[in-house]
Amino acid sequence: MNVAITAAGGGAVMVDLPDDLRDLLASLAKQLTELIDDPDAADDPGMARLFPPASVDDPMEALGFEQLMGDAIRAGKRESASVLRATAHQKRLGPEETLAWMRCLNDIRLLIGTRLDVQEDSDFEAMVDDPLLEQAAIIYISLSDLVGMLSLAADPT
Amino acid sequence: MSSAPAVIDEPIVEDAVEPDVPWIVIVWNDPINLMTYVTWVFQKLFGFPRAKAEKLMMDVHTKGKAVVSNGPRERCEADVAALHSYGLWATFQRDR
Repeated sequence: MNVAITAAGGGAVMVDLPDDLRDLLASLAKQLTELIDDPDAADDPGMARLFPPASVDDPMEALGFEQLMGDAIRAGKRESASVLRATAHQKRLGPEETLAWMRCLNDIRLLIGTRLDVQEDSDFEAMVDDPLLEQAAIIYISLSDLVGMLSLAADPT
Repeated sequence: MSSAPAVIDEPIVEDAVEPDVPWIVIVWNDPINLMTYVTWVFQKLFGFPRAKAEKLMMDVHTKGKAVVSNGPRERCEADVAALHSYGLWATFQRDR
């Protein structure tokens, strides 16, 4: 499988990915949006990781933050997913599109990683050998590669 | 202080019991976010040079957390919102 992401100047990147992987990324972005919009998903541990409390020890502070900023944060995540879906088959990503890919793919990593209970010393080979975890683990590892490559290729300045 | 004889409109200071302590933003270690990604986000959001972003990232990774910004409450709330948009685990609090 040929996967390469290289800098294209000015924060843009060139992405060389197989079509089936691009289809998968678009599909995952769609699922993420559906989950964000699902009121019943609020108790999902993955969702809790995507929208963590903004205060360690003050629930009122965390609630106030959620009321003040929650809608904007959700809208931003929806927007990133929407951009990724619209640009999933582009070879060149502009700076804003690159940003959206990084944010959205990382959100999906957080979601899947939380469900897999990923820890610093997680044994991914064992997960891949587990029929129940295999698919999620393979997707998680692919997304890690992509986010890592994007972080190295995209210019943050 | 002036020696003006009378204060007509004395401002009501609601925060009188809580002096204006600056606020801080903390990023916490988590096992999922990649070190390269966290470094990138610090560079992107705060405009830190790469070396400073990497040092902060390593602080988060090895010490469990790092203070990444400070200032008035509104600024810190906005920074936490931005960090959450990037999927980093961030909180804010008074700097005591």
